[in-house]
Amino acid sequence: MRKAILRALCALLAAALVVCAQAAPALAAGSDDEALARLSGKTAGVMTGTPQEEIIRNRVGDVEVLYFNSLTDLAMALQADKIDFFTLSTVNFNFLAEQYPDLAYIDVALTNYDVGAVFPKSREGESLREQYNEYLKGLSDSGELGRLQEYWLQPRDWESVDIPETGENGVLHMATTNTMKPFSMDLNGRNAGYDIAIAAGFCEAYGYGLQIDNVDFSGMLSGIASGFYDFAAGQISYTAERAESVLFSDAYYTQKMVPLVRGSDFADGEVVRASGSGSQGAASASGQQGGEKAEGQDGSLWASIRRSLLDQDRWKSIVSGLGTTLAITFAGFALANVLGAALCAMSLCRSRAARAAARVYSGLAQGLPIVVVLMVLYYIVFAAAKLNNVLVASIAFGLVYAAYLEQLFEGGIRGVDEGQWEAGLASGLTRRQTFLGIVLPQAARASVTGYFADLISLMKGTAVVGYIAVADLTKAGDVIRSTTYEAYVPLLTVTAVYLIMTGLAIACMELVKRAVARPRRGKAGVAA
Amino acid sequence: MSLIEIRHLSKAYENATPLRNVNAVVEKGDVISIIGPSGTGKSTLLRCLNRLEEPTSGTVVFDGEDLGAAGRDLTRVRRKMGMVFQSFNLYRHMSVIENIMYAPVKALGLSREEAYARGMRLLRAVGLAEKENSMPDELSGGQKQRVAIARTLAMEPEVILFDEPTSALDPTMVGEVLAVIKRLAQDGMTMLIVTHEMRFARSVSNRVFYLDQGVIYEEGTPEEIFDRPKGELTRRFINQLDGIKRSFSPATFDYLGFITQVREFAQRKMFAPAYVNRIEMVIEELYLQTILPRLPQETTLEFSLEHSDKLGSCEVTFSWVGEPEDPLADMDGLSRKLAEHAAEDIELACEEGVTTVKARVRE
Repeated sequence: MRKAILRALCALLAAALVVCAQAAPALAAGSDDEALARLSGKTAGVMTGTPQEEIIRNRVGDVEVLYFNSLTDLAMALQADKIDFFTLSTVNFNFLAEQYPDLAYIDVALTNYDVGAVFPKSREGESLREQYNEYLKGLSDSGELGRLQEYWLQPRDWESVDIPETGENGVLHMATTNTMKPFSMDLNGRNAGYDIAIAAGFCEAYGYGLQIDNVDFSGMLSGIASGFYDFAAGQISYTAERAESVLFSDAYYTQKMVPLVRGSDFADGEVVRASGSGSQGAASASGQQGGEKAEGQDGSLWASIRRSLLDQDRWKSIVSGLGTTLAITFAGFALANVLGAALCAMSLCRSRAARAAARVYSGLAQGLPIVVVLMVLYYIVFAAAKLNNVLVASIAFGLVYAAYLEQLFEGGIRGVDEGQWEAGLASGLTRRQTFLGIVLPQAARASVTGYFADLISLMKGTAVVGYIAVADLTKAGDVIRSTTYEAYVPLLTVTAVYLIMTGLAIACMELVKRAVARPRRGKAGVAA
Repeated sequence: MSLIEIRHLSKAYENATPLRNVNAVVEKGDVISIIGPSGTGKSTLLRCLNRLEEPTSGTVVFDGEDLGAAGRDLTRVRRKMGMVFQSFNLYRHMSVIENIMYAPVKALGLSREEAYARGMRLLRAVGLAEKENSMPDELSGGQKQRVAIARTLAMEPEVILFDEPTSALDPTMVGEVLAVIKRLAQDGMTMLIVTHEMRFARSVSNRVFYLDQGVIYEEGTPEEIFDRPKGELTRRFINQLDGIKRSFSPATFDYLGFITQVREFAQRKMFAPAYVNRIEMVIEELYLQTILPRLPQETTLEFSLEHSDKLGSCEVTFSWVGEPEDPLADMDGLSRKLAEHAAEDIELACEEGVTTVKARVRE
């Protein structure tokens, strides 16, 4: 019953939106609608943070929707039959199809999006946008914009973009998502792409230096809305909703959004296939579903490894990502130790206020998702200080894991039998001597497993630091996946590295356990 | 000067008052056993001596130093006042010898060599030299307690407080621990021992404190306390008395209810059936058949049945206010025979207008 009402409401909403969408470019009816009708009732993939779901519901009708975080994930899901289609710009299609030859699209524009740069809604944002629009107009008038499109929006061996580091008018802080090939991508470890080329050209022309942060798509928009960044670009489509919270520049590209499907599900006339894969390509594609395609277009695992790790020294980004992950893990854990010990002292002390404060802190730190803490620290608390994002991540993990360690420490100390205290005190030891020599060693011994569990949990938890533009191990894998559209090798590499780290931590734990279990022998230090 | 003076010591918790106004003096060389029912503050008394617990009021003077005074150095006092716990409390993360060496090194500043030598000498004295490198968890309860005693001795204390040192032990291990304590007593160590081992208390101590209701209810030599206890509570405790009491008048006497109460008590104490039969026979023949019919209806009778584990017998007593002509004199021949057969001894006493008939029944 409730479901029916919900569905009816959705239908009403959809109808209303269709009416509202009259202003949008008129779309062909009839045969287009027939083609789209084939998708009705199927499962659609949608990238989180984009308005595609609404558009799909408007144009296709009733579909089931699954959410994904990157294009590569969508392509993999489509290939693995998890979804039946997703929407994508025709530009991206050409690149994606290099890696997934079975992909094809139904040549019906679900909608057309204007792509532009975005600016905060502030006086500074307003004036920067004016300059940007002025620059764009110049590019358009001189025909340079067309040349840039021609150069960047087709697969080729691009040259890197020259990004001015400094300028007489200061440095602009830009956010982008370098997983939006070819608009914004990673090229030999540097930012490049159509949007980047325009941004760099603008800064060059207007005397700015440019500093680029690679963030998540949703992070990019919230970073602008909060005024954290001066501007952002990277295949950002104009929507009325977004325009309520940020300022858009004039459009410098209009992309056509089409439904992407498995080519093997459709006859030749119904879909557009990747250039170079004719009917033969379709036939072979239908023969190889699933995993085999992981090996990439030229079919060998070696080629896939070469593309994912060796080309352009991509393995270096994995190594540097690992370094960042380790840095955050150890810095965060060190802070958590210090803070956790302090909180533990507060919890165990006689002052009621101190105990209450420690309890409130623990409740807060354990009650919030780490991602939320990260974002709040980065975009709000330390926004003005413009702290290094690795440092912010370390602080966030330190603050949160302090609460977990506090719990561990306190439990360990309280877990030591009261009689141990009494025996120490009754034999004339001071409280300090009793605590340090008798209670603490026993508490520590009981806490070894929990301690390493927290360390490992923190290490794995750092996988979310990509939210605040930190290029950690996970992010490094994501960037490789989005540049190469290789699904498996980058993911498996990252998986293996995490597993090795976890394994090392567990091995360390066993060593420590064995060391503390060894009894202290009396003759140690005594001449036998 | 006395070694320890306990002055008006009281300890009160929110819902219990284990100590109210305890006063006592401990001389050097005293071996004092502290006995009494559980929950009467015996352990609390020891723990107030070395200040593991703060007394509510009163004070303890040790070696001339008032432990209640502000600024007193508790750790220094505790070095001279060792304690042995019911649950041993060996440091679980240290080997036996480390357990013994730890406080001498940390608190007395002995070198590890000196502490080791001292520890080994003490371990030999308690017969555990070969366990020096064992961990506490590898020892039996009796061994643990002997190590704990050695650990306490390593501080060379002037007095040792034993808090139920054998209560957590299997019966087979009690002996080895008591033997160690006994030898300390022979060596002249001053000790206060909270214990439930009466025979041990009697043989080891020169003084006994009977603690009850938060005070030292009776104090004396072992002979005085164990053989000739003066106080009613002491007597009941020493003889391990237990019983039932009831008062009624012949007019309203409910024999069935009364005998049920007796049987429930007998069941609780797990008396042998023959013993219960004898008790019932005495009650029936002596009281029901003989005394009861001869008393005025309005008389108030006090009945008690008191059994002593220690003596292995019980006393069945009836008393009432009134001067009788001897009720046993014209007792029915059969009843008399039966009663005298069941009871070991029947006696009649008359004091200050109260007549008491007592019958002793053997287990």
